[in-house]
Formats: sequence, structure tokens, C-alpha cells
Amino acid sequence: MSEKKTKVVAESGKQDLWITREFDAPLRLVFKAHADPALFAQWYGCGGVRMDLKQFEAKTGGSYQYIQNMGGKDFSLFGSYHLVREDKIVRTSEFSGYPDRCLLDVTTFEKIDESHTLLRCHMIFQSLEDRDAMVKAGVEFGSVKSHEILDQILKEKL
Amino acid sequence: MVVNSLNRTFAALSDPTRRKIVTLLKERPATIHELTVPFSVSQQAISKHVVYLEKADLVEKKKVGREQYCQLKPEGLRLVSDWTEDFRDSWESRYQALDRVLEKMKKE
Repeated sequence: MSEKKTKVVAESGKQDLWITREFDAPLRLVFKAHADPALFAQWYGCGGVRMDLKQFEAKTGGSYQYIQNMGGKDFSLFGSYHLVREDKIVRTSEFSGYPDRCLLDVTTFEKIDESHTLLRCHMIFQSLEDRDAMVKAGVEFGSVKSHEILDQILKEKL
Repeated sequence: MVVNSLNRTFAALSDPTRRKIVTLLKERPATIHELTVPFSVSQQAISKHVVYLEKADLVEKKKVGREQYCQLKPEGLRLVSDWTEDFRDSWESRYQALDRVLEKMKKE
């Protein structure tokens, strides 16, 4: 598959992590893909895992809830939107696999030029333990690995 | 159990002095005395940190002649970085799906 472009910075001993990624698309499209439920559902579910958007109100004071099946069990990710702006989305987030460990998710979209955008996602946790639990959630709950997703995508193409 | 040892590794690396010790040992093995030089704490304090790192399976001690050297156990660190790799992989997959959605959007 293509080279890894996503950067993750999770410094040991810190309660936060940064995910950054560049996209070959104008800022307004990258924002729209985050704010429009029909578009969001097409990519957030890891390109192969079925995701059910039970709630999706991308506006200040709105709430969201997605159900995802991981390792044969249903898990939900839910929270509230604090701010939805074309250059910034701020929301709370809690994963049902780790109850009572809500985090703050601050995602910004920066214009690199007319057709390139930099996405930065800053996740701030209540404790170091919460941060580490989130990073290992994929391993612990058996979420789909990238090569499995590739297989699924290849199957779809055929 | 994999999960417990990850917790131990992260607890070990959650202290800035221990992180600095690991960074120094990445360059080359060192004695406790050598490790104490960059810090303003006692040799005893550094020794305690090293014991913590040994218990977390990140560092081991080896005798060379009359000196005892601390060195990194490569497997310990690889566990930590593999784990962040999985996390990054899953986000990269998600963002590659977003790449495809953005391509479709551009055509509209």
C-alpha cells in the first residue's frame, strides 16, 4: 500500500496526542467531509468497518453517537460538539469500551494552498492512563488492521 | 499479559528523568555514575530510577571488567513503538478512505 502519511505524536508521560495529516483537497471540502453525516460515514468507519451514525448534529451544542462493531461486539463513540467552524471542530468524546474516560478532541483545518489542507487533531485526556488506553484500544478490542482493510477494499473492487 | 506489560512500560517512561536516562542509553551503555552527570540529583536517586527501568524490562545491567554498565533492552522499546504504530496505521487507513471521499467530492 502507499506510504504512511499520517503522523502521530504521543509523547511518553503526556496526557495528549497529536494526529496530523495533509490532504490534496481544498479546506472547505475537508471540513465538509467532517461536518456532513453522509460524507462522514463513508470514511470514518475505517473504509471497511460498518459504522452506524445514530446521531450526528455537527453544530455547537449538538451531540453525536456512532456505533461500530469491533471484534464481534458493538461499541459506541459519543459526545457533544462544542464548536463547529470551517477551520476548527471542538468536541468531547467518550468510547464505550472505556467508560467515564471522556476526552477533548480539537481538530483544526489549515489551508496550505488552494488545493491542499493540513488537518491537525489534538486529543487531550483526563489522565496519562486514559491516553494510553485510547492508543491501545485498537489492539485490545481487535479493530481492523490496515492490511485487512486493504483486503476488504480489494474485494469490493472485484 | 501484553496489556499489563504495556502499562508497566508506560509507567516507567512517564517520569522525565527516566525518559532522559533512556535517551542517554540509546546513544551508548553507561555506568550509574556516568548517568548521574547530566542530572542534579544524587547517584542513589538515579540508581532507583534504573531499578524501575529494569523492572519494566527496558534496561539491563551488564558487567564489563570491574564496571557495571546499564544498557537498553531493545525488545522493551520496540513494544512501545509497535503499539503506537498500530494506532497510526488505523488512523492512516481512515484518512486514506477520506482521501477517496475527497477525490469523489472534487469531481462534483
